[in-house]
Amino acid sequence: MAETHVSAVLLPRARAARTHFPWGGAAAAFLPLIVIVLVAVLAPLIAPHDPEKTVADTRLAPSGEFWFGTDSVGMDVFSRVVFGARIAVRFGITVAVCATAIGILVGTFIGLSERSRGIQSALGGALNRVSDYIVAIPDIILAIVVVGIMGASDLSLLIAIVLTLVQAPIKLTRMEVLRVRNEAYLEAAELGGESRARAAFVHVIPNSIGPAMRNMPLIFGNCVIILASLGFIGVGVNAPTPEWGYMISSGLSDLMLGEWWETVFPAVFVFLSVLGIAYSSRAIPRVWPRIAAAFSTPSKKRKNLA
Amino acid sequence: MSWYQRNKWWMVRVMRLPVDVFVFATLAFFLIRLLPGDPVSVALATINQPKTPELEHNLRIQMGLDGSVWDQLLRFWGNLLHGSLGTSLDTHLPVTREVLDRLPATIEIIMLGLGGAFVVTMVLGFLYIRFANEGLRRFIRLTTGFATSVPVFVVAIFGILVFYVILGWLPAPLGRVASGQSLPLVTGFPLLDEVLTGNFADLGQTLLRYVLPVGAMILTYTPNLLTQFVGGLDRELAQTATRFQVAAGASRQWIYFSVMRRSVSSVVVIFGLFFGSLIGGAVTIESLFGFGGLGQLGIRAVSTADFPTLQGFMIIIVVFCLVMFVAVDLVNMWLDPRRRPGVSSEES
Repeated sequence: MAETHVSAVLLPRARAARTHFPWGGAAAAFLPLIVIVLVAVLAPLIAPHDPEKTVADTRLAPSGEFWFGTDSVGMDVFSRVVFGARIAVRFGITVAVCATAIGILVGTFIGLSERSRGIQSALGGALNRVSDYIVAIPDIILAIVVVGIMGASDLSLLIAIVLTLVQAPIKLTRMEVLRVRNEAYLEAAELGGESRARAAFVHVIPNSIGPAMRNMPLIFGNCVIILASLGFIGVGVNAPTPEWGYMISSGLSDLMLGEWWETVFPAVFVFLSVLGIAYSSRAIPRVWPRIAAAFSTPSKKRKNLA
Repeated sequence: MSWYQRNKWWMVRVMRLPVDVFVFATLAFFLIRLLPGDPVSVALATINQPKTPELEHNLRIQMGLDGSVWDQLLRFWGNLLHGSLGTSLDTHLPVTREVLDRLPATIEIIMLGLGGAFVVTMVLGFLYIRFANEGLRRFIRLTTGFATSVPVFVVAIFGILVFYVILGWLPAPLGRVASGQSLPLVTGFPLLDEVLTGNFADLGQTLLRYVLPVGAMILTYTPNLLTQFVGGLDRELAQTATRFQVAAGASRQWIYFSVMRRSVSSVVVIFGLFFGSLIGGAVTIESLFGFGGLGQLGIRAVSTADFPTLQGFMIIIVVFCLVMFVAVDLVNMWLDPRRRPGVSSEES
């Protein structure tokens, strides 16, 4: 965001051209994410049957009524797959928000404490080292251990996944803070007698959250992957829950007998959603400067008028 | 330069390993104890016995969770120095043995998958610089576009569907050998053991059963390595060093070798970064193909709430990762002396 301000100042004539909101680019970048979230939100409307109840005979092949067939206990695979998106999105958004928020706070603390002395510096350094070591733990292994110790529940899954995915926003924010903390406005705030905590929240965090925010779709995607992998090996999700990984593994024995629909449809959905989110998480940072420019220029004008 | 000065770069790196292991084990100790929830009550919930205070107390002692945290830490460090990480509550075997018995088979799968991906990356990278064919280059760039982290088990399931269910070319994904047979055990690496004991019929079977899992790993990991490699090749081809070699009339082979050597270090870095997700991927692959191994141990420990096994499981796997990181660093420093500590170059 700082870059766009600079360029807007340096190129006053280009400003008019920049203010157009890049509709096409933004729509293409956000489309996969929006589709997945829509499927999740509208799951009760899309799904024709209850995802956790037996609605027909077992192992029916895909047909007009049961688009994706039924599974080994007679639940509708299509409804389960659609509701699976709901679970993936619920976890994905919760984890992305939690990990980014915690990561920004911890990363800012680490970044700011690297210049200070005494106990804060020691604490910041220690946190930084701890984060380095946690990165070394394979994500699935860490999740297995956390779930094993806390017992299988949504909370333990959440803690397990946040713990592995929070490290990236910590590192990204720390790098940004190290850059931002030498800016003149921080010095001005310090000379103006603002407390350091206030300076951190008012000046440092708003100017250093960019990379961590743009990392959110990536966290979302990784969360979907980890959740599906854990469900697949049977850790963390309990029996009738329509979770994609768990559906894939529970349909495996039928896949061997040629009844492919129980396994293949959830696998296709995992595949498509992961590819879609990965595409979004690469496309959004590319269009982001233009979106930010479109938003920031009018607001600047308003400020100038006031 | 003395011998010490010439070899300082790798000795310093290797010597840091034990410190890292110690610090990490201590960190894991605290991390596990800081988690909300009590492993004793989770374990009690899995036991079909009336819950008496004695039972709980005994369980706490077995888990090493009695006394204050500092008592536990001292005991933990003492055991660590003797190379012990406690005893499994489930099988009453030492945790180190439980994990180390299964680690070689997992390493074998990882090495085959990763090694295969590396070879494919090198071949495609060589084709990329050898032939200026635009179609080929576009194909290779398209491949790198798939550099995402589609879970490897999903790729493997499509493989099973096509090659086992539909075509019937490959055997069922149910273990390393046909059911009823058992593997010879010498080193713990299944392929190596079969060669060592001269079981070539089994070796063929195992190789056939490795086609799908290893193929899925190669398909999943090649694009990620290739992205780095092609990026490095593009960068290094344009460098003055390359132009100088061309101008100086170096042979084509030498220029290819030089460009690839300079670009490969970014691939090696990705190796290190990927290692964690590889172990995770290997766990799901083992579970899918019925290979037993580390994943099975982890899942069993979760279902029986086997606290010492979980703790030891994590520590040993991370120690293995740390060893791999050292190897990656050393290979990188060997390939590219500019990365050695204390070496200055015009770029740094």
